[in-house]
Amino acid sequence: MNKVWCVLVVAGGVAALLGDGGAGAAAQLLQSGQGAVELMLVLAGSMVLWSGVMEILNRTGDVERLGRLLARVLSPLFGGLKDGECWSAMGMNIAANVLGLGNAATPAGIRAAQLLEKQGEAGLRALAMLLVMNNSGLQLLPTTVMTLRSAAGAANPADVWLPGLLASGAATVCGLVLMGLINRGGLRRG
Amino acid sequence: MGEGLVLAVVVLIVLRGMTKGVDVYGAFIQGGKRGMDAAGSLLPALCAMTMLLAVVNASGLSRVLTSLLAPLMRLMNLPEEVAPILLLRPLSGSGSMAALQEIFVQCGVDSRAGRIASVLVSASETIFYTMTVYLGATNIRKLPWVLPVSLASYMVGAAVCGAVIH
Repeated sequence: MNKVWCVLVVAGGVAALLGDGGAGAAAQLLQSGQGAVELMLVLAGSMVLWSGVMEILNRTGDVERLGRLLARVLSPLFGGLKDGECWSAMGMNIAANVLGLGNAATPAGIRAAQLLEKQGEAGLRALAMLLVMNNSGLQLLPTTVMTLRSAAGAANPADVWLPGLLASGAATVCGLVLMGLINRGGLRRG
Repeated sequence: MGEGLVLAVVVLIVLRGMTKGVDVYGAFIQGGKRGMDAAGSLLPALCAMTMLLAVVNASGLSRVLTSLLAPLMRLMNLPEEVAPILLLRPLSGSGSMAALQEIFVQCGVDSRAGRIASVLVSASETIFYTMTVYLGATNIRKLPWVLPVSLASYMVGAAVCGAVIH
């Protein structure tokens, strides 16, 4: 991100200076801080609200239960793993991600990565699968985007829910199938 | 359907907390505090991104990038306006939020571009960041295939977006 950001700021800045002496870009640049604060206020409300609601769910123990269930259901995808602790961390990571609990998902994912690292080849294959699942962005209730849409005056802020589920569902299936095929062929050959 | 769902989820979670003997109000306050901290620490990254978008948009650089991506966008039946989102989403969560806000202002929140951009942001992940965080906690320097498979899946998701949103 560092490189991308630097290149784009310099390229954009130079192009603007050469174009109209930078007047338009300068005006927008000066307002961008205010824009960031306004955006943060919208996001902050949403984050406080949903972190609060999700903490209730977290304390019921249902997230762990869902994690254990997912670990059992998904076990064919992560074949050849014996360590039970890996399973609970992976299940928790996937469950928290799908429910949109970023606070719980990241520590569980990191713990899973560290445990899987010690499991040799099977562990690396499972970690690759876990990362692909994480990266496909499947989320049952996209609260942040709904909030941004609501703040922007959308007629129905939640109308993106079903298309979103279809898109991320397709991405998830695609990722699992591709990674499954690659894993079967042997990760190291890649 | 989606609106009813939001309300139903909240009611169900509160009910579930009550039946499980959770200090529901206390949990909400404690979770909310964490959300507030996370939101506060988001501001510098958001500002870096609104600044970047200001410079890139005003200079015309975004038009150049958009026209470079145009053939790919047409192939996936996506409007040109969402090209910045498609590029930024795997790199930066703050960046895609800022770009999404920009599209709401430029094209309208209920326009096709506005809805597609919303789905692109909500139904995907900050791929490069996730990889850095998870692999950074281990001694594994590189895990082959994860990045190409993740990016290919992301493109499939984007194509589904273009197909299902009219």
